[in-house]
Amino acid sequence: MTLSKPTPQPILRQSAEDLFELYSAKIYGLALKCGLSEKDAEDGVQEVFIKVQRKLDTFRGESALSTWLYRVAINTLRDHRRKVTRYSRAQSLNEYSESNVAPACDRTYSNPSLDAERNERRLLVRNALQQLPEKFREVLVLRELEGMSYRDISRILEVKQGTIESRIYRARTRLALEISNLEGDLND
Amino acid sequence: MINNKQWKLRTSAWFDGECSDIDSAEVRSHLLEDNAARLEVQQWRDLRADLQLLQPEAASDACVKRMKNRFQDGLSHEIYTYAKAVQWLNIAAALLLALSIGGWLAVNSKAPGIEVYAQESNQLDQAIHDFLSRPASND
Repeated sequence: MTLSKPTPQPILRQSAEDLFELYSAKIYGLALKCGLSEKDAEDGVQEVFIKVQRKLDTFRGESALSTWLYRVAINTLRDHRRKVTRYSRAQSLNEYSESNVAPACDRTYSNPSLDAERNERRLLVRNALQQLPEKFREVLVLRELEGMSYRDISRILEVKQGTIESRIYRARTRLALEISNLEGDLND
Repeated sequence: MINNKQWKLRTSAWFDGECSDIDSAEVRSHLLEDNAARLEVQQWRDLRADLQLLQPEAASDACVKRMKNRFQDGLSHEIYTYAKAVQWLNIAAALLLALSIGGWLAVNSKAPGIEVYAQESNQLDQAIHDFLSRPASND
């Protein structure tokens, strides 16, 4: 049996504006999950789609458009995050903890102490996630928060599937350790 | 024989629903025998629940609208910048062309005035030479 070259998908003639309509909200969510504040996430979305506009001609249809878009987004948001962290680390973190991205369901909670507890836990998990090296944080975000398969993650990050498998395992182990350390700090 | 690390990786993949049926059956029987592995899987379940706390709420309509406006502004700026760049490139190309043509003309054209001047200059040189070559008078 001979392996034939995968047939490229027909290229959808979509403009960056069409893609913005379809994906901006998702990419905004991804930016928040990657640890950006609301304001920085908005900036990040703009940067992503400007880059999409510039690079759209290079999309050859060898992968799904959404995979390609996520690849551009992850790379752009990574750069944006580095830039933001470099210039206004403290400010960004404060903004996040104040504005925060509480899930909508939290607002209907009638129990304030439970709310407070969940918020505290959320901050702790978020801080633990921020402590992880970038490559671990990204795979966890894509797997656990975006619900992507190993295959999709490997295509987005352009890393072998086996590497993604071990990276996810190591990321989980590391995150559990970070959470446990932060819990220890709180209890001291 | 699968070593401990391979079990852990396989269990993690099973936890994510990324195992084949055969591998899944193996992992399940491994979990029945290995208490530490069961505890680790429980820890991953807790982590998964913890991470779900970070799910952001959907972007509000106002937020999407704001982002759209900014994107369109950015796009306009991008197009404007591109148009400007093309305009400057055109100007630079025109200047380069004009300079090249000018240079070529300067090198290759023989203006009549220059030749005449050269002749006059030669005559002058000759006159000076003749004057200096005259024998000195006795006066």
